[in-house]
Amino acid sequence: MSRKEPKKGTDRSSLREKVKWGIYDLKCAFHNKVGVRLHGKKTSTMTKARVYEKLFLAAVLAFPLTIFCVFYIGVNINSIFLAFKEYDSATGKYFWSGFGNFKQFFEMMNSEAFMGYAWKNTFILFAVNLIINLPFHIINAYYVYKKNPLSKTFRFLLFLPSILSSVITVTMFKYFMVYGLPGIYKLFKLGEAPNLIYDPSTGFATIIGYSFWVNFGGSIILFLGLMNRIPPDILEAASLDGITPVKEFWHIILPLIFPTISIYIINLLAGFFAQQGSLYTFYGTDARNEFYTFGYYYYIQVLGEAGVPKYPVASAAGLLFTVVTVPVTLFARWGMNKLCPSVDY
Amino acid sequence: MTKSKVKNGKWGVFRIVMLLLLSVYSVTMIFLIAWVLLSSFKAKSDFNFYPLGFPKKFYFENYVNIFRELSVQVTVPGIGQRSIYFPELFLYSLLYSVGCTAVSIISKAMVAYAVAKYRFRLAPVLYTVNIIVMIVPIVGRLPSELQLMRAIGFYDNLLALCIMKGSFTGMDFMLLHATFCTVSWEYAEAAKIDGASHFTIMWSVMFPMVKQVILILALTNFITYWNDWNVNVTYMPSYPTAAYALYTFQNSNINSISMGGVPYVLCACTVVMLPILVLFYVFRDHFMGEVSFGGLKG
Repeated sequence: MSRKEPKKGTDRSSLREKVKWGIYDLKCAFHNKVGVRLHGKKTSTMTKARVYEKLFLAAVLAFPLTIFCVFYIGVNINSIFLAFKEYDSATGKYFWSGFGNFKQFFEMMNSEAFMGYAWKNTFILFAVNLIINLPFHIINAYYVYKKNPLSKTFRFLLFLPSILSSVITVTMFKYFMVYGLPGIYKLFKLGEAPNLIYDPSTGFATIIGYSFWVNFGGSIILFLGLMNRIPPDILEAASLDGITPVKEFWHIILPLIFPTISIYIINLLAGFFAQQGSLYTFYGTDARNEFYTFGYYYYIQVLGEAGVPKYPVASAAGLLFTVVTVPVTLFARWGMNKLCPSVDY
Repeated sequence: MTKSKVKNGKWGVFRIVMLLLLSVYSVTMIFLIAWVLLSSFKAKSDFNFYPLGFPKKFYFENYVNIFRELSVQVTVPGIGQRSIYFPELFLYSLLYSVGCTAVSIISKAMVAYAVAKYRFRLAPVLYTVNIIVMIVPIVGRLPSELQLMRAIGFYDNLLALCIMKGSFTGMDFMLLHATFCTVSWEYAEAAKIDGASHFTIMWSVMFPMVKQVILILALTNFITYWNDWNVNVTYMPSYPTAAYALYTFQNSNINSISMGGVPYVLCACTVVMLPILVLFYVFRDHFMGEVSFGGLKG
């Protein structure tokens, strides 16, 4: 590739000259990068090894970056556009509709009966996860960490639900409630067994109970791993000072594992609008209004061919949820870091 | 009573309360699994009369029959309805789990290795992008993702779905990056002197050095994909997996799906659960021991 310099002093403002100089600059850049000998003169500072390294990096990164660009950046940008479009079922095409989808979503929030339940249930699920499940995960891990009686058995049984599919645990739980519980009532002559899963007054409470039971072990391996990483010297020194296990938990273990607890809490916040509480696994698309959560409502909107016309409204809802969730999550993260800075050990 | 005795007393009470609580939890877990297992060996009539007791006779043939009788209906364009039985369901489960795991782990490992071991302008950008993706929650991507997939022909396509798992972001990337950072570059230098290419160094020298972490991540990914039944509901209706089949059975009218009734569904539950339990048993030390990298700071 030759790189003949355009005549100096020519007028660079014309389009033709601009193109000429542009091509010249590109050629220079190419020669400097690739390092080809031109007219017997080496012009590049880049070695052959460096070129191979660049080619290797390009080959290694090309596929993951393309997937990321298309299915993360592309999808999210498209999601924003989709929120301002409407679907024409007759032509199967989307057209711009301004803020119509947002208006429709707000109208639905005021008019639909399930929305009140969705707010309430989503908050209940979040509170149960944060106030009941999370403390149990940590306490269970500490019990096992201190090698108390049966800790190995408990470790296995607490970890077991996290490797089983939710559809397996739901099937076991649901079928026992529907077919096994009446058997127990009959055995102990307690009368007729309640229909806990389908009764509107008990259904959501049963789902919460299931969620507590199946998540009881939760992240035991994660927290146990963290506790095992704490240098024994710290605990030995505290033990020589006569620290009790309860104080050890409050003053040493908890502060040291707090950075991970804070990530856990932030994840809970980030997933606030997405939590379903296994409603779809229990009921499919037929859950009663009383059991609705935002995550469930959102999920069933877009399923299958019937969901295609609802994509724009669902995208608008998603955009609104994101606008609420992002600042809350980032503020929580900032607050957590202020409250308890991470400690390296 | 001395102060230390009171303190030890508190700890003793805590231990007893936790022992009781964890025992109750364990009993419910064991009881439920045992109930499912025993019920799966019952005849339909036996289960209907005695849903709690031991089987009067163990019907091992239930496990053979579900492979012949239980099926999922899918609509194939141009053909119509088609029944898919357990062998094919397992095949789809296996293809989906292995394909997604391989693509996901290899992509993440390659990017993590490049970012950890090479100096180039994009390296810090990629690391930061991953952190941003992890901490900024984006709700409601699903409609857009589905629209895009339909537009480019990725919807209802098993191979395409595996390809989609090739992004580098996520916690696995962080773990692999942290692991590669701890591996000395001297091994690569030695291989370079022997004439190894960059690719050979990555594949034959560096990846084997972190095989423990790659193995545990591959196992957890495999289990996640094996258990994933939502994928059929959302992205891939024509290739039902075994987990999806179980979802379909448990949400259908029990009399409409089989002659075997509830025991057949519980058989299906056991069959879907079994490969994971076997995998867990074989790699139990990796699961219970090696997952100590949870302490990574975010």
